[in-house]
Amino acid sequence: MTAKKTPLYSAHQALNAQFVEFASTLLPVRFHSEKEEHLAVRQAVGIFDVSHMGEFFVSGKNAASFLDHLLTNNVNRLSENEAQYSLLLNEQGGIIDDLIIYRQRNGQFLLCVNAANIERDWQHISREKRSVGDVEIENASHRFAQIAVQGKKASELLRLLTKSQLPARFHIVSTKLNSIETLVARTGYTGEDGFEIFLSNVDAEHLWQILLEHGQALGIKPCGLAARDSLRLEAGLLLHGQDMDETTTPIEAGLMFAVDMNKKNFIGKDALIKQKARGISKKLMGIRLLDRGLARHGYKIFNLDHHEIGEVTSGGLPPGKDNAIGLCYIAQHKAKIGDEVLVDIRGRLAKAELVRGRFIFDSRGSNHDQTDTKRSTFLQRT
Amino acid sequence: MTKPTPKDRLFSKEHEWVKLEGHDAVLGISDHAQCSLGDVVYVELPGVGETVSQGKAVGVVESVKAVSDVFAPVSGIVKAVNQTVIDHPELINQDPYGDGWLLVIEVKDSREQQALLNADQYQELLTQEAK
Repeated sequence: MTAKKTPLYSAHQALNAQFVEFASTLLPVRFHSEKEEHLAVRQAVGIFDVSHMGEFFVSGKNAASFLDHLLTNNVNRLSENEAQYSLLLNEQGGIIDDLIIYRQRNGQFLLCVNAANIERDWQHISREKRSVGDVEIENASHRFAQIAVQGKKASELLRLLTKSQLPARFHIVSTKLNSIETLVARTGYTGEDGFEIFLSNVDAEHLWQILLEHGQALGIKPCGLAARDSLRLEAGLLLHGQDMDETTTPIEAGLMFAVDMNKKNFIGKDALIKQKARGISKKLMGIRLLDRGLARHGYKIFNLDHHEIGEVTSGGLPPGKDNAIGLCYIAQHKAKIGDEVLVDIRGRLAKAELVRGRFIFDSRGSNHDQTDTKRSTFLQRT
Repeated sequence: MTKPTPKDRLFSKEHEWVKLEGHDAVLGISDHAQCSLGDVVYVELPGVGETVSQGKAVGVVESVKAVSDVFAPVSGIVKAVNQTVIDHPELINQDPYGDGWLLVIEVKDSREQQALLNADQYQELLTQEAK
């Protein structure tokens, strides 16, 4: 199968982007320097082509109750134009995908799912839908392009393109940006303020150029997947397929803030109750290298007695930082936050410490308890 | 954006360069290599006095996305290591043919150089690879 191209492919080519195939789509991995792109988002604003992401619409009289059964978070708590981070589980409690659900004005819901999981999610949702009436589902992924505008100056940039009010954090509005019809959501995957803009394929290149043009004075940079990955890792945001998958549960992955166990029922709930009672075998944690080097996906972790206790799932070195960071699974009760461990970097055992998996506000090298901050990243209604 | 391939040195098919200065060979990676790697964040190099053999890995250059071995284009003994590049790996991206050099090797057998490519041949290799 040949890789798909996004509607922005030729625009990226014109900017000399380097491409990589991700989820069967050719996407820019970097335009010039992933370091500069990462820092542009932290300090100013960056734009990302995320047209590969999937968009499903769910509507009909029973849409809310259907989704409430399908997803882990509480759909009924969502007001109109509000967004929520949620999970799609299998009956065993394994994570099929993580997604953002938006409740739209007309009682319709938009689900934004991971590109690599579009087929799997669609198959799962279609099967579950069979037993419910008055629900319509549409896989609109092929119709939509998506541009993420992320960074401290993201709202400043969008204000140049519209007079109408921008959505609040974790909200979505339908608005025109410089006469282009869009859905603007105040969500993202970088740990910064920002927007994810859904729009028709045919308008994508036009909006991309407008954003670059108007963003010039703000220090805008087009950003590739490499920066997207280092930004999300620094923000402690998990990547499905790498940090969790269908064999991991939200308890193990530390995602219970997106699970409402008080809901009457949802797919996977029974399995989670059982696992809570039985106990988990592994737990996701952050890791920071004390020695030089990078911890990468699949590298083994040992305790100081050289017993294997876990494995790295994501790793990187954030620009401007001296120590590599990562996410890892540690066997339950084998180590805790603050413990020193060893990472096998191609045969060399490098010293590291286990930390909470959120590195972004961590300017002095010590990792504070960021559990609450992480919660607020996904902004749950309480 | 790409830098011109300098004519004063030889290249390996694995995208290293060597610049011969008497019995010494300065070693680095090509502009093409640094471009495909992306921002280099970590460099691992052998110590002074260590023996290296042509075609064998002598170090590692890591970027955000990839770990890449550096192969010795010539055999010999490591005479100098660029400590600055260990502390500032971004030099490899900024100046692959200058400040981004990695090692100086005291060459054992100058005949080995016949296996290497000159600038034009290396340029040809890049054109072939791009196809």
